[in-house]
Amino acid sequence: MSELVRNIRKSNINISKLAKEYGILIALVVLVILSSIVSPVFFTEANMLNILRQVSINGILAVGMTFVMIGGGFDLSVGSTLSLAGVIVIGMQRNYPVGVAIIAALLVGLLVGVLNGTVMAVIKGDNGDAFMITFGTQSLIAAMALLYTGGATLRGSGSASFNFIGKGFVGPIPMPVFIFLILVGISHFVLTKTKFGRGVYSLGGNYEASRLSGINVKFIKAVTYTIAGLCAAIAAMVINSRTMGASPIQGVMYEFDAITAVVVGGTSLTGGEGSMIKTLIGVLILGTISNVMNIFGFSVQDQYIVKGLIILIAVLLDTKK
Amino acid sequence: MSDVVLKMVGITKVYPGVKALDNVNLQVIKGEVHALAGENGAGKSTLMKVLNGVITDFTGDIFINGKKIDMKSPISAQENGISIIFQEFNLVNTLSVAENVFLGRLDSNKTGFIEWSDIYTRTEKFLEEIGLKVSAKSKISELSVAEKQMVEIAKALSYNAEIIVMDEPSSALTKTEMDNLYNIIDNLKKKGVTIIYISHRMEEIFKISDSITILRDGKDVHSCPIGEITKNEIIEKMVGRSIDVEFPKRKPFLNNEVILEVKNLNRKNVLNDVSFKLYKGEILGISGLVGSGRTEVLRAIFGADKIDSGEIIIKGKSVSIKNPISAKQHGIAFLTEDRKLEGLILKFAIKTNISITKLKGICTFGLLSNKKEKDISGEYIKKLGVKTPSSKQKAINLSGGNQQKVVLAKWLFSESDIIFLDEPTRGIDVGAKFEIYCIMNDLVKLGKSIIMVSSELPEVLAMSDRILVMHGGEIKGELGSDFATAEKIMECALGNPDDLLKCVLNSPEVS
Repeated sequence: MSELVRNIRKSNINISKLAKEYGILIALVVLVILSSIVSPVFFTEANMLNILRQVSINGILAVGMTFVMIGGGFDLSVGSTLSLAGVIVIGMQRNYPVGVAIIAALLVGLLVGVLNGTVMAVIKGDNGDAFMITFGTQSLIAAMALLYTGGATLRGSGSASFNFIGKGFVGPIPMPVFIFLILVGISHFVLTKTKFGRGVYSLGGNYEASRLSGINVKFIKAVTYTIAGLCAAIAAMVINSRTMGASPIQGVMYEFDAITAVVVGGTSLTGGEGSMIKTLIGVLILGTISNVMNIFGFSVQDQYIVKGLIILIAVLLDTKK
Repeated sequence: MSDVVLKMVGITKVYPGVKALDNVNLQVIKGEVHALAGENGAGKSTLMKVLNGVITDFTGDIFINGKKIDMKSPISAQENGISIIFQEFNLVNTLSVAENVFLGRLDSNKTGFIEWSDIYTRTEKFLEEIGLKVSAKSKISELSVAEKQMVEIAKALSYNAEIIVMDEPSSALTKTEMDNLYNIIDNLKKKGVTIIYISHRMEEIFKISDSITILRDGKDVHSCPIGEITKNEIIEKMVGRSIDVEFPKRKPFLNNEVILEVKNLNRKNVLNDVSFKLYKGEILGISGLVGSGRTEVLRAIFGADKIDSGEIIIKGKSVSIKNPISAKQHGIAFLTEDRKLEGLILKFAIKTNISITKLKGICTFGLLSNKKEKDISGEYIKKLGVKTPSSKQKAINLSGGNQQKVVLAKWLFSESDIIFLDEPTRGIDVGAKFEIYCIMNDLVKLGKSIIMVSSELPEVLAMSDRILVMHGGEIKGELGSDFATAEKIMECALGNPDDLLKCVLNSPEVS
C-alpha cells in the first residue's frame, strides 16, 4: 500500500516535470484537438498539408532566428534579406541560368548574415545592440532591394525547375514543407550534437564566462547571424517560386513573425536556452491558430489582437521561468 | 529576562526536493548584535528572506515585540521596522544619495512639487548620524562600496528600522572601513537598534556580537551568548565535525624547472614591467590590495585583456597569447574571481559547465556524447565532493562552495599544467575551503603549477611556496614562505619605497 502511494507521488512529480518540459507540446496537441472539435474541415489531410505549407516560410526564417536567439542575439534584418534575395533570384533569371541566380541569391543572404555577424562580433554586442544594429542593416538592405528593382515588382519566374522549389512535391509532402523540416532536422542535430551548437548555447548563457573558457565566442556569434541570413535567402527561394512576382517589400515585418514563433516555442529571450524542436512547435501553434481563424473568417484586426495576446503571454511565461 | 524584539518560531520552508529551513527558531533581544553563522547553503539567507517578506510560502510564526506578524511582503517587513542590507545593494546607481534614501517616498507638497531642500536636509541628518561624509546630492555611482553600504544603513534609519539585518557587510571592505562599520554598529546599538549580523569571519563575530545562532543544513543547531562559545566550537557546529587545522599540510616544492616566465609585462595604467617566474610544482601566491593589479596580471597572461608589451615564456619557449583560446592551448587554466559572472553559466547543468573547457573530450566521432559528458562530470563531482543529487542540476541551485568546486572541475577537466586561481575560496564556507586547499595540494603533487591570487593573508601565507606582493601595477616584493609574515606583506602592499627595500632584503634570494 505504502509503495503504491509512493509510486503515485513519484508519478505526480513526473507530471509536473512533464508539464514544464513539454508544456508547449501539450498546448499544441490541445489546440489541434479543440480545433478539430469546433471545425469539421480542420482535421483533414488537405488542411493539415495546407497549414504546413503556410508555416514553412516563417518556419525557415524561424530556424535561423533560433540560432541567433539561443546565442543571445536578435535579428531584425531577415525580412529585408528575404526581400533582397527574392528580387535577385527573380531578376537575375532574365540574364542568367536558374542555378546561377539561386547561388547568387543565397550568397547575398549569406553576406548579409556575415555583415551582421561581423559587426556584432567586433562590438561584442548584447541583446540591445543586436536590436539596433540589425534594425540598421534592415533599413540598408530594404533600400538595396528597392534600388535593385527601381521600386517595381518583378514578374515571376517561368522556369519549371525553379518553380519546383515552391510548388513541387517530395512524395506526398510539398517541397516547401520538405525544405523546412529538413532544415529543422539538420539544425536540431547541429545544436545538440556538435561543438559549434554547444558553443551557441554557451555564449547565449554567459558570454564572458564562455570567452574565458576558451570558446571562440566571436566566431560563433558571427556564424549564428550568417545562418539567419542564409535561412532568409532560402525562404526567399520558396516564396518567390510560389508567387507570380517578386516585390522588393515582400519581407516587411516577417522578422517579427519569426521571432514570435521562436518565443512562443519557449526559447528564452535572454539566450542560452531553447531548441529547434521548440521552434517547430511554436511555428505550428501560430500556423494552427491562424488557420482556424481563417476558417472562421476572423477579420484582420481580430487576428492581430490574437497575435498580440499570444506574444504577450509567451513573453510573460518566458520571464516567469 | 530582557526584551525579546524578534522571535521566529518553527520556520519551515520547502523547495522541491530540498528542505531549506527545517523548524528553525530564532530569538533576538532588543539592542543586541546577534550573529547568524553557518556555511553557505545552511539557510541563513532563506531565513532572512522569510523575515523580510520576500518568501511568503513558509510555515511557522514571526513575533515582533511579542506581537504576531503576518509577513506577507517586503512592505509589511518595512512597516514592522525590519530592514535588510543585502550583499548586492538595493541602490539605483544613477540617482543621488537623497533620492535613494527616500526612494518611493519622494512625496510632493501641496503645490504638487517635491520639496528638495527638505529631502536634502533630512538625508544629511541621517548621513551625519552615521558619519558618512558625502553630499546628499552625489550620485551613488560615484561612491565606494563602503559608502554605498552606509547609504543603505542611512536608508534603514530613515525607515525607523528597529531591526537591521546585515548580510556579510564586511566582505568587500578594507580594514579602516570595517572599523568604521563597527563604530556605526556600536552607535546604532546605543540607540536601541537591533542588528542581525550574518558573517563568515570569526574575528568580527567575536568582536562585535553579543550572541550567536548557528545554522546547519536548514536547522538551528545552537544559540547562545557569545561569551559561552569558542571559535572552534562555532566552526565545529557549523560544519558538524571538528576541524583541527584550517590549512592542510604539504611538503614544499623542490624543483628548479621554470614552467612559466613573464618578462616586462606592461598594460597602460594597469601593469608596469611585471616580471616573475613560476616553477613546476609550486604554489605562487600573489598578494596586494584590491586594484593593485593582482587579477590583471593573470588576465593579461591568459589573454583576457590586451597587453601593450611583454614576453611570456612557457616551458622555455616564447609564446604569443592573444586570447583565452590560445592560453588554453598553451596549457593555462584560469579560475576567475567572480564565479557567477565569469566562471559559470548559471542556467546550465553542472555537466555542461564542466565540459565547456574541453568539448573535444566528450565527443565520440566528433559528435557530443551525452553519456560521456555524464560519466566524466560524474567523476569530477565525486572527486571534488560536489554536493548535488545529479550532474543535471543547474549551477544556479548550488551553494557557493559547490559552485566553486564546479568551476574548479571544469578547469581540471581541461588538464592544464599551469593553473591560475583568483580568490579560490572567496565567499565559501570553512569546510569547502579546506577541501579546495587539499585539491590544490594534490594538484602540485601531480606536478601542476599554481598561481593563487588572494586577499586573505592567512591563506596566502599558509598555502604559498613563494609570495609576490603587488602595488600600483608593480611587483613590490617577493617573499619566500619561510620569511613571509602578514606584516611584511602589508608593508609591501602599501607600496612605500622604503618598504620595498625592506621586502627585497627579506626575500630569500638576497639573504
